[in-house]
Amino acid sequence: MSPMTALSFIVVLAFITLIFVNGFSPTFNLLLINPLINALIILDRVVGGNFGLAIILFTVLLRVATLPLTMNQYRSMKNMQAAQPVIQELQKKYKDPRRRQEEMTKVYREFGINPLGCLAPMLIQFGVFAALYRALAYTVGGNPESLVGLSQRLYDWSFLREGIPLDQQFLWLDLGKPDGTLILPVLVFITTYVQQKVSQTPNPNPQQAQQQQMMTWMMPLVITSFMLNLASGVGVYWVISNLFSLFQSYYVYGREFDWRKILPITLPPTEPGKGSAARRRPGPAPSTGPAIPEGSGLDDETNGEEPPAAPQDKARTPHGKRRGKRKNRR
Amino acid sequence: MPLFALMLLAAACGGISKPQGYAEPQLDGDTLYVSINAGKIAAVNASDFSVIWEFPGDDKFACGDANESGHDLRAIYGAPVIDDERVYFGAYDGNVYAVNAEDGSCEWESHKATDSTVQCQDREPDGPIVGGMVLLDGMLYFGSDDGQLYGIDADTGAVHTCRDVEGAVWSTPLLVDKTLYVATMKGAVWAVDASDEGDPQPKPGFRTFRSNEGLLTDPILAGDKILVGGIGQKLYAIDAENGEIAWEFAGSNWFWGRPVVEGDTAYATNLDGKVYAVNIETGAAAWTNNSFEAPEAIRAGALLSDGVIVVVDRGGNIYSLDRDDGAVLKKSASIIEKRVLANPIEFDGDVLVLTEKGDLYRVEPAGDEPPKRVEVTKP
Repeated sequence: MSPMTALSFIVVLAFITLIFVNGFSPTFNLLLINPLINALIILDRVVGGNFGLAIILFTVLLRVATLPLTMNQYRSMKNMQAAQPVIQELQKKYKDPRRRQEEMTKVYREFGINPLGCLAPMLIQFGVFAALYRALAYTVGGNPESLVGLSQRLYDWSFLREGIPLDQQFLWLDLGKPDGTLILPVLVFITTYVQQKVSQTPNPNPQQAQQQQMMTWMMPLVITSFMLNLASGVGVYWVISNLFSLFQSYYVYGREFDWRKILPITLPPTEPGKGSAARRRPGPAPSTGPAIPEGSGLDDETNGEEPPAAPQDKARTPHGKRRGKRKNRR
Repeated sequence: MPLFALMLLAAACGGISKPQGYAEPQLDGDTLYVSINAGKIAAVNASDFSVIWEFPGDDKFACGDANESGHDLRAIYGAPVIDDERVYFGAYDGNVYAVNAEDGSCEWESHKATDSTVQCQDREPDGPIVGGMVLLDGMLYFGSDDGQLYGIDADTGAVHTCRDVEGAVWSTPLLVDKTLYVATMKGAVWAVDASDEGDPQPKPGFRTFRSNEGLLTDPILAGDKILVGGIGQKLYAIDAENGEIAWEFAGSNWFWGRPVVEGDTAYATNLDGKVYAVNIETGAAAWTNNSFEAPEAIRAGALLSDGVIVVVDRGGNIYSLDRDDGAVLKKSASIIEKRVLANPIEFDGDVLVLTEKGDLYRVEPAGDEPPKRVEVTKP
């Protein structure tokens, strides 16, 4: 278990303990909602009283702060994909569930996969999503009653009080109300769909691939349907968060998008060297994330079209150093 | 996915609250004007609490000669103003309405003036109306969330005057002689001469008072000073003539309830759950060793009734306090169990408390009887 994963588990454990000791609502308020409210108001003051910009800045800062966690998540996903052929072999080979599980655990260890690695970023993402929703009810709740609630959550600092009441208008949006123009829900749908599509890794298991395909549609639909009734500020957070994920995928992890595959319709293949899939981002490979080997099957573009390379080759890049050390020890 | 569903469920449980309003009920003769449903105002017979009329009766209604159209007043925060013929009130939808006091029919809805001779032509409120209004010489004056102080013709509803006060107004202006004192959410107190229908000019010699934080309480007159407080956790005393600050008194949270003055002491509720008694001449605390603190924030102003201070916190706990030392004389804790933000009023020797959901409770200020719910009957 990496130190980051261990830390995230400690945080989650502490949170759960506090919930048991303190109750759900007070813990949620104390640890998430109140700090979030005050952080948002500080950012609002910093950006000159534009609460929409404050939400955007908050989203970017949060995503930057949780970058190590999401990097772990991406690595784990990649390794999981690399291990898929081996896992499938194991599933065919071992009928006894216990034995199969033991072998799977070995494979996970071998490939450096933490099955719970994606839990912490997900928890943070959805925890913030829920907390932001509640925070917006107080900050831009849009009525005097919400200010009474805000007064009980604001830290005793005149810098914060001077920003009250917050300006609810941002572009065409009233941040405290659902977007009646439906522009924001549409943006939420598009960015969630694209983000889902881009982060998808090919799954050789037809059943799982089908489920994955269904999720590509279901997730944006569910989120968008919620967004129709939620404060626009939450939608702004969601859109910016998705855009950050895309940015992260492209610039940090070196993923390359085949925009044709993002479209829900099938387009004829472009000539080699002309399609976006064939285009390569100029400049050296990013040092922050592992490069994806050519033809490894990890690129979205390949999407199962090319046969996966040997698992050892694929796993080498993300965990090459560690595996090398292990060899030396042996 | 289950995690996601759980989180959304947690989020959805708390929802963004809809505006409910906290208009202070008004008693006029034998009729009580009270908002017992969000965005509506009712005339209630004060002797048997039967509803005479409720406005609007329907989502669609016509005001005066206008065509019937759909309206959603959303909520009413400012106390209604009543004259011989009409009931006037500002709504959260940004309009002022005048309703026939007899039958509850809409007489007019605020609108732009077409008369080119008026000072504020082609303009009408462009934001929620949270504060109340004052009536002077056939003109209704009120502040809006759009940062303007408006004067509208009480007979027609046409906007006649407007003045930029550089900040949203959530409180009821104070009328002293023909001067309007207006407190804004940008922390300023303006004094505006309302002696004629021309351009409302600043009161000569009054320098606009400015603080850094929003002012929420209705300004009140205490001797020769204006008392006002707000988000800055301070109660300010401003010289009514020149706008100079006389003193400031610090609480530990926001002042929102309208202070009440008796003799040389002002009693002000605070969102910290306390009541502060302040000497209006010096700004010094009048109660020493007072440990009263309600379990919830107190948004509603204090009421002086039967020689005691009555306060109601947001949780619906009602307290009667000794005005000399703040000692709790009576506590009706958690009996109402409803949210209360509206100012309580005196009613036939008792105190009438309106909850956020529109229920009415009657309580003796000093007796032993617990609060009783008033059954409002509809025709």
